[in-house]
Amino acid sequence: MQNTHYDIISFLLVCTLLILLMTSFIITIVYLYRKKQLAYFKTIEELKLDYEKNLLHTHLEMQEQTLQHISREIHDNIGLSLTLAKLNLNTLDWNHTATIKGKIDSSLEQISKAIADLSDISKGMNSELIIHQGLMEVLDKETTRLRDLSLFELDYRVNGSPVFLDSQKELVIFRIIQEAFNNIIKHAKATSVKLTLDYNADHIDVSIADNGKGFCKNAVEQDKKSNAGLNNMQKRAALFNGRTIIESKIGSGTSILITIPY
Amino acid sequence: MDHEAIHRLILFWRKTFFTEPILLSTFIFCFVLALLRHYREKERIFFLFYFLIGILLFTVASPLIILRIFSGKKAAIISEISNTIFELVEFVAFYYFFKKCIQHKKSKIILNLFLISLCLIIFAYFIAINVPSYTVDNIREHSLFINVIEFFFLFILCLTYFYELFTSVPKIDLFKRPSFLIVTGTFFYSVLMIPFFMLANDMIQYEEPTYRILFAFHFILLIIMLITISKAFLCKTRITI
Repeated sequence: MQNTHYDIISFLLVCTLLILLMTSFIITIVYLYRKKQLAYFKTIEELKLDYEKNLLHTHLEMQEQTLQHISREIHDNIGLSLTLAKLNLNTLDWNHTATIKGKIDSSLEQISKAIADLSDISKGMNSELIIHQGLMEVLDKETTRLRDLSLFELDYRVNGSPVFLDSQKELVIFRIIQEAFNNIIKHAKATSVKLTLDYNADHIDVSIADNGKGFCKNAVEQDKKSNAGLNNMQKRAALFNGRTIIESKIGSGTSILITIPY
Repeated sequence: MDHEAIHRLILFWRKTFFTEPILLSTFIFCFVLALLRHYREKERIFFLFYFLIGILLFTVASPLIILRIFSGKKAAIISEISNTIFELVEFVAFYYFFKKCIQHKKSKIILNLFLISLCLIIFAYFIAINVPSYTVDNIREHSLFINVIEFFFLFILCLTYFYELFTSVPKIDLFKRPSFLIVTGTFFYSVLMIPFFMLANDMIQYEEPTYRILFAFHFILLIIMLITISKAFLCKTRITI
């Protein structure tokens, strides 16, 4: 009997202690969880800020490159065309009417070429087009423009069902493709280029392959200017958790594969 | 039911400070709530079934014992079998609940082992009950032992859940997680009931009034646990979040 009394008192004491212990345990769990949650939200905020900073930096870089490209195009092509037109008009000899028509036609041709070049630059650089028309349409126009230049044979294919991506992603993909084509035009001396868009279940693969002269990756990595271009491609894809694989061998052409998840 | 039966029922309930009818009302409330808000979710449906068994236990099995319709070993068998079935259904409901809440593979293996062990123990108990040499004291003692095992398993599962809270991504506030409410209620209930059921057999024999008081406390804890489960049911999200 006494033992049972003792047991009951012990039981009540144990119960009271257990209730206090468990309440402290639950309070500790709530406190530690809240602390972990705040640290997690802080990390998310930091990642968001980081991402926005990188995106802004990328946009500024792209803008800078766009302006440089426009400057080069104006200097190399448009400036030259207009200079030739001006030269022709300045050297018009009204005494020799036979040559006047030829020179005027030539000037008109140069001015038309300058207008066409300006129009191309405008379309190629207009980011709004991509946002409003989408990547597919803009790429259709860009590939048509490149084909019209007749610099190389361009094989453009789209595999799978196209998925509408975020306009920022599409813009960056387009700029990467533009940069790759600019490099092909400037350096590769390719006669055939293949552009393929593969829309997979959860990601897009963009591959650009040419049969140009290729380059030595190590040499390019040591040259800061050339390396910057390749690095830009990789950084821009990485912004959207994507990756860029660039393979090239001297004499065997270059292939670039960009994978970006949806 | 005649006046004497009702009088006997009221006298019995008075010994546990009328916590038994309050518990029965809570079970009915939880059952109706679960019926309206099961959203065809497996875990909610198992809890619905648990509430139904609770209602049957306190409306059918309990009165059969209180009103002495059966006596001696038969009464003990009916009482303990119905309690054991109730415990089994309770554990199965929590099994499906914890199966969704717990993510680690090893923890899920332990959960399965707990269910299999409890089922085997209960199966052995039901067979032993039919053995003539198995006395009323044995029936009661082993039934209480099964209670202790069940609460111990629930306690371990609650600890596993609390541990996993810190290994998962803390996107949702703790008090907005229905599972946290259920596990906290279950945690308090299981931990406090382990020492009670360990001492219950001695208390029944030597200190029945004290046992009745502590049994009322057990009902109160069960009511609190049912309230936390019903609060979780009011959330429109899955109760295992």
